[in-house]
Amino acid sequence: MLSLMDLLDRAESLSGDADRADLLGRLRQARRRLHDPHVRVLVVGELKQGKSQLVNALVNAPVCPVDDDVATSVTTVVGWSATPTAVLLGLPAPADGTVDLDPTRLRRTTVPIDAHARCVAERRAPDGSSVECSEVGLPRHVLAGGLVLVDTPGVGGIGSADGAATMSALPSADAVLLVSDAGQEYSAPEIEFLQQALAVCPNVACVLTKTDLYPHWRAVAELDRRHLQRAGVRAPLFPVSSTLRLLAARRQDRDLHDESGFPELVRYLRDDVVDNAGVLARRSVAHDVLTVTDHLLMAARAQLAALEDPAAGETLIAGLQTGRQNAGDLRRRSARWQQLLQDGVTDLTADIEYDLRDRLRRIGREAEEAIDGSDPGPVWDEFDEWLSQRVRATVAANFVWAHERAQWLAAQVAAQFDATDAALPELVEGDDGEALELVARLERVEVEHVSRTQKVIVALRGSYGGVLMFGMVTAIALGMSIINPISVGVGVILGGRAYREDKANRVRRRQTEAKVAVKRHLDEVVFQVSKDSKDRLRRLQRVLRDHFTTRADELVRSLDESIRSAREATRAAPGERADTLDDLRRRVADLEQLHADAERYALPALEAVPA
Amino acid sequence: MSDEDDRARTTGRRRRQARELDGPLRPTARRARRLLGAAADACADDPLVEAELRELQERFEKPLTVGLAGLIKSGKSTLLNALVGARIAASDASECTQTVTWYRWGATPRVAVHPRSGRSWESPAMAGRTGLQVDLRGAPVDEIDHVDVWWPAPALRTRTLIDTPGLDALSRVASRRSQEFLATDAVTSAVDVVVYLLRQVRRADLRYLEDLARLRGDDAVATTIAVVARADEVGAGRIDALVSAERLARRHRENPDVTRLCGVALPVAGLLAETAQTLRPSEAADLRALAALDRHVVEELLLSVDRFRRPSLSVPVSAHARAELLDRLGMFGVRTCLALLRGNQLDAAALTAELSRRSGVEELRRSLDVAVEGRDRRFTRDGLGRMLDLLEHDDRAPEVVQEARRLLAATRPLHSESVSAAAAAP
Repeated sequence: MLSLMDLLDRAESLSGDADRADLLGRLRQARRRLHDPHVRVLVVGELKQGKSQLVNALVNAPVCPVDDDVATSVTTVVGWSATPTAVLLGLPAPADGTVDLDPTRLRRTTVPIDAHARCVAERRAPDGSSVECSEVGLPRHVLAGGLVLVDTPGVGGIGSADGAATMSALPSADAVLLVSDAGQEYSAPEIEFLQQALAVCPNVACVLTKTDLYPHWRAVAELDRRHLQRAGVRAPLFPVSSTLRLLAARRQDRDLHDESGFPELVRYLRDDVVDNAGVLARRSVAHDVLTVTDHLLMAARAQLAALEDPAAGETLIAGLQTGRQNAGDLRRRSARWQQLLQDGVTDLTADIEYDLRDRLRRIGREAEEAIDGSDPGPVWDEFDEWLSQRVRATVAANFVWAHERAQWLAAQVAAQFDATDAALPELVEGDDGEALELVARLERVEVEHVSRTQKVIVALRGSYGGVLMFGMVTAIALGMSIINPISVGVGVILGGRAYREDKANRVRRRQTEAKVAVKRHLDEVVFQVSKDSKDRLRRLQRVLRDHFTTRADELVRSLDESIRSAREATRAAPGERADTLDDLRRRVADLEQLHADAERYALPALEAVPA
Repeated sequence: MSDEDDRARTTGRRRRQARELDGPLRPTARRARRLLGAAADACADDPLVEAELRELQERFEKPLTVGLAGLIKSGKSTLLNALVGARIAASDASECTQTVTWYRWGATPRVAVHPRSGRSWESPAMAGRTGLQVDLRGAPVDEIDHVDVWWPAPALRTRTLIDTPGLDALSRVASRRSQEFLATDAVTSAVDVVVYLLRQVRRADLRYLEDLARLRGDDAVATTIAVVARADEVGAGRIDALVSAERLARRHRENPDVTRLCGVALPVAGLLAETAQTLRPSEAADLRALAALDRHVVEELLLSVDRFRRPSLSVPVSAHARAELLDRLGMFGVRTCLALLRGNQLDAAALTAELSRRSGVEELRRSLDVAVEGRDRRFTRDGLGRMLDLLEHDDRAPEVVQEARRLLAATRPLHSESVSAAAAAP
């Protein structure tokens, strides 16, 4: 079987011959995707559950610092490279006291791989500057398929603000491993996290660590499975022992390795996560090649038909011109898909805002009842904590819902576009998967769109969690929408302090004030979050519009090309015809061969055929 | 059981308490008690005043009430057993404690269940696999207010212990009951000291500690003890785990977030302490047999829990017995015991003492003793202050009043002293 690279080479040379720069660009993009198959696996969990040690055991190298006491505070990204490398990413030392958060000015320090764990533990590069995150490359078999492991900071645990940041990074991850140790069964926040994670991430798995240490790990695993079932979380659970895996690697002891439980986890990562992602990536590249050959074939076939039977040429050209008309319509703003997208985004924006307002209004009502029930002064801190937690959960739920709706919209627009496409019989139908992939990719690039004010908030939080993530692999999209309401919450706490001190005030006045504070807080949340989601939807709209407009452009160009070559063919002198005919037949045969080859990749049924 | 029985039991306990107070311990309490007694004698003709003084006097004789709280599986029941010296609170791999349970001293084992509404009932004191099994008569956990257990363990004479369900558990009902307990009982003077167990300082821990500190008011910091329970698991069960745990505890002591909320932070290996108190001779013999094995064989056994309990003909102790040992001691406990016994001729008693010492439970007991003295001072201040109010304007017992003034003056400078200050002293 031909490799995908070979397919791309052939498709590129054929598009080059046909002088189609637009198709070449598309192929070049596909090639980039194939070259860089990053399958990101987020390792998350409460603190001190053995996340870093799990990453170390998976790659069999002490790259992440492990300590009995101090929790990891720097995100470490471990991927494949031919030689061991370690790069620390930090902010440049501020000259005037202000923190510069321009991603392009991020300082990259290469350190020896042995020194990496120490630098990360101390959060200091050898030259004394601070470290925000780090990238490690290792020549390990397990990483060869493009697997990238992201060791997240355990600071604060999953219920905290950092947890919210983790949450927003989920849609961009290909898989999530929730790590918890075998010392205890799942707690309520962990199950909640799993439920939300499953809604936005295709692969979620649970890892039960430290099975070498806890006598009751089997009972805990059983309990956890039951908890998962009861909560409706369909995720596999892998009990593992990192210690045993590291020891087994040192001793080259296969039995011990089997006991560590890692073979199943590695198999899962390879077969379910990497291969799935690989299959998708290969299919999308094959699909690109298919589309390109379709376009080229259309022009070549039209020319061929005109050459073979000049009498029918005019009918053919008339048919093509109708197609050209249709395709041209697709580009117009009044096209059905354009309207669908426009209306869809408008509806979605309204729906999401309504959903958010509705959820928050319910919280507001509950809060008012609580305030009416007692003097809010003495219990304000507790109340504030309750409020921020509820708001956090609400915003997360709203986010998940918005994500699902966005995917649905993308699918709808794709279907609408293809429905118009049907009028152009020569072209294959579009792949809905492509539009969905766009949504996922959109979340991935989001970090570059983080606005100025949001950067400031990141700066405020940077000293605490170290969740600044920039750069290629490290672009864990920080959906700031989830963090904002939390920082807004600070204002309420301060407000709360102020009036708690004012003991002389009567309870009723306090209640009124509390209600006003809550209302203001919720308004602020609505404002921030809906602004963020509006921005996100606007980006979605733009990306989808560009995508489909490009497709329409390609169509128009191909049809123009077909019409032109068919006209030329009908005008050609009979003497030239024979030569061109042979040449053209060969080209069509080439293209058809390429089309058939690409189809084998694009069809899932044939996926299992070994190369 | 009738009220008379109850009263007889209480007086019996009181008498024993009183006897302990006659010893060399708690000098302040002894003096204050004597003064209050003398004042009450002097006021025998005024029954109201006498009754009040007697009540103030008797407060010193009550056992210290210690509430144990923490997230699920933080080791509350295990630590309770270690403090009692018997396996009475059930502990298991799953969340286990479902009701708030009070453990008090009683000459015979007895269990009473108090529902939120309706009549209380007695449950037979059945010993389950890991501890007492309480018959809830099928009542939902939500309906149970609390359970009382009377047990003839000497440690309970001076301390009443309260076990609570884990906070943040998936079965929210039990968690809610714990929160209620913390918000009401722990706030009133019903609970003298709260021992808050944590594995790591999670956000939820700080939140609960903060709630406690706020609700309990000024005395909260002095009467809350944070314990890094399951300290043996901190260092992945390595033999130096407790060193790491101590480092962790020290960091907690220096963490302003924690010191703001509780007085002491101690590492305690609860399971080790519990088993040390209840180690059977057969278990000690098994441990000795294992320690006598070739070093290499022992190391292979200790690689993982599964290896340790795998059937093997070359190991003199049966796989079942090894699994039992593991249950009782944990991986760290087994490693520690084997390291202690290798090359040393320790008998069972010496082993018990060494385990107890290493588990850190003795420091916790000392902290509780310090807490008793803190309570004594508080009671002395309040009791003698009230007595002076009552007797100031008559001269029935002038020398008592004089001595009370002296004692009060001696107590006052210690006013701000807390458990932390006393415990921090080596």
